Amino acid sequence: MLLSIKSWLFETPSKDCMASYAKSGENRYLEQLIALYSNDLYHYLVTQSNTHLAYDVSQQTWLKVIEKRHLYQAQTTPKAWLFKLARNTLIDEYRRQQHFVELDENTHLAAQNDKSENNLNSGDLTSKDSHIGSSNISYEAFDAALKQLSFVQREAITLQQEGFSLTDIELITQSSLETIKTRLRYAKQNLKRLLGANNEQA
Amino acid sequence: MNKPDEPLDQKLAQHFKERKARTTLTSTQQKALLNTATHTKPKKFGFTLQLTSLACALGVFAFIVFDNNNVINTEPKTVLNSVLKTIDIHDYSIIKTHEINQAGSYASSITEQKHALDSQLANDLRRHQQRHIEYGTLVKVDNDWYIASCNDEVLVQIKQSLLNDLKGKHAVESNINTGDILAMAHNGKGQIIALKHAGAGVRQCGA
Repeated sequence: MLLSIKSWLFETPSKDCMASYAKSGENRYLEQLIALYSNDLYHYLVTQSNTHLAYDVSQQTWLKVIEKRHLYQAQTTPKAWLFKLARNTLIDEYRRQQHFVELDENTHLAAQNDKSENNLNSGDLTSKDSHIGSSNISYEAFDAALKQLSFVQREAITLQQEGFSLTDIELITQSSLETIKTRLRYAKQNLKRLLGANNEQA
Repeated sequence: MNKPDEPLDQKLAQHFKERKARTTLTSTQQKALLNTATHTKPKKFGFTLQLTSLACALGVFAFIVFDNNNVINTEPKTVLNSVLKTIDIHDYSIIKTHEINQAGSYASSITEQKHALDSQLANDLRRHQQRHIEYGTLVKVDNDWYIASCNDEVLVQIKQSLLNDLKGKHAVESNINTGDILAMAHNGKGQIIALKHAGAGVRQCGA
């Protein structure tokens, strides 16, 4: 009795809010999910597109979560399932806007830089404002290099940095494990090349 | 020993950490997102629910309608007729029943009320006993006589014992042949006491 009152008073978020939401459809679980994952999701979408489209796709994704909650299986990582929905929504949106997009290794869907980033060029690789670690590579330079990667390579590296395992990335991108490993390897090689001498210095 | 990619991995991790810190939804955006999501009801689910409810309602409606049509009310013995006058089912001596039986074929049966049969039997017996002269056609002669009654579809069999008794009392007319119309005289108890030709007035049954 005391335990149940305690758990009611000091209710901690469920380990799998998505499973709880899929089961009950209660808004409080959806609110928890949004609080937990909305920024991560938005960051991924911004990396793969631009701020405006990212916010739009983010909204669409949460609406899809509401619509498709019954399709969620508790065995799946909730965050991975959410990112998979977001990715599919983003690709649908790209195809709608650009008619057709083939997501092969060479397809370059460079995220549209925001206004401040548009002024960057290769000469700005050593910014005075922000530096990564002890190297002279600026935040903006690293970001510019990242955005020059192909859609799938940037995606692989972003998802890895987001903390997803290779299995999770496999689920999100619906690609084979070997393909993901290849994308990651090429993504890093390309980043090194793009960052040039600054990277070698590190 | 460090892996070749380790410095880059560290830089990537640092960069993404900083990038994530910079790339967040504003509080307004987050509130708007929350508001949109929590105030949106799943359309497809709602539509499915509506369809299901409609189907259930139609099912219940159909059940009520057809169930009322098929109901057999065994309790009340009286029904209201068209002029709002109650009638008793026992007023009817014969009940014709039409149905589809368990084998799926059409079947009809006649149920006669026992009390109606009893009263009919009593009436027949009374008429039988009160009738003094009964007409009929002699249809067959062997040891017994078989007379087909004119009034009812009844075959009267007169046993040889009675014939001998009546002949002994000279109560059977001579020259009676098969096909003749006969008159059977009865006493008050309905017993045949004499047999003779029906006479010139009765040439055939129904005349």
